[in-house]
Amino acid sequence: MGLDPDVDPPDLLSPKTGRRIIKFSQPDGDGTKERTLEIHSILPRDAIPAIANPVFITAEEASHNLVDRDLVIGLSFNGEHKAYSTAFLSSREVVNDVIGGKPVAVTW
Amino acid sequence: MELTFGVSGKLIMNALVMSDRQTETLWSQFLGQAVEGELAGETLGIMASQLVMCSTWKEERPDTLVLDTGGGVYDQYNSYYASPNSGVIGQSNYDERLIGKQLVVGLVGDEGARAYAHTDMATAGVLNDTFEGLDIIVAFDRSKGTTAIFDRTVDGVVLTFSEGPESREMTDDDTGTLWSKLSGIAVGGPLDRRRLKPVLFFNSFWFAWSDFYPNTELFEP
Repeated sequence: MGLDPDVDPPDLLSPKTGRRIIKFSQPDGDGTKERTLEIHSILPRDAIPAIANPVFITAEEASHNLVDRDLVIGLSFNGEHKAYSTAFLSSREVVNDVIGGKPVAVTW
Repeated sequence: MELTFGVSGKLIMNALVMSDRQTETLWSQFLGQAVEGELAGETLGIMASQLVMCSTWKEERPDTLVLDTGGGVYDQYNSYYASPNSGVIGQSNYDERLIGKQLVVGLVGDEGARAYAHTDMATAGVLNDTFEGLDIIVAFDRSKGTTAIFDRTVDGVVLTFSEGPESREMTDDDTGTLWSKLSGIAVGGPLDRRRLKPVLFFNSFWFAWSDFYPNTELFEP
């Protein structure tokens, strides 16, 4: 532990493989169990448009768009801090972004 | 390879499935892993983030940038959040320990998963706990409805925390240092400016958490 606030979190999930009805293994109390997951098609691809080129403004500028109680996803990395409105993400679901030099997908 | 993600229009247990532009592989958001396509079996690194009120985040990170929404925003899911309905394709595991739409924070380890209900954390405030051998502090800010989880070992010493003078702060009983619950940064006392190591956790509705982790432990106060 030190003063560097933006450590990489560990990868806590293990790799799994699959198909339309896919099997995957999951740690589950006393050992690993194999489960099946169903992939349901609800909408055409890109019917909900993800954000590819996000634009950012300062917190002061954003006060015109967001009120204090609005929920945001707050993310920090390498000294850079960003906030993403969840109400806005409800209509976009994915933001492809870069924070502190690291490419990230912010999802909701 | 750097990937760019879009929305596939598919769901796994009511949670987002993404599609990457480069290979069209399908990725489960909840699991952070590729489930179908060329990259099946690959995982994404998951970064710790916070789900907080805008004002709380701005207090903690005054120099934050904010995604431009291009104007005021109406959340199309407001009525969904308020309703008892869970998801759109039904649940695979009805777990009656909590109501489906209750909010939980969850941990995933090598051996299993554990969830803490927001309502129980609102009562507990701070919870000194262990998870798969790791000594953790689960900190809940009652006035903001925000949870954060940290490793509570500092310089080899396992600290024990209590509520601080304000709901957004906690004090360790060992040194009397005052800490921010949200950032894990000490804001006064012997360990001033030190920082607790964040533990990766997830915010979720209970119905989704218990679908993905059917044998999850649930904190019972």
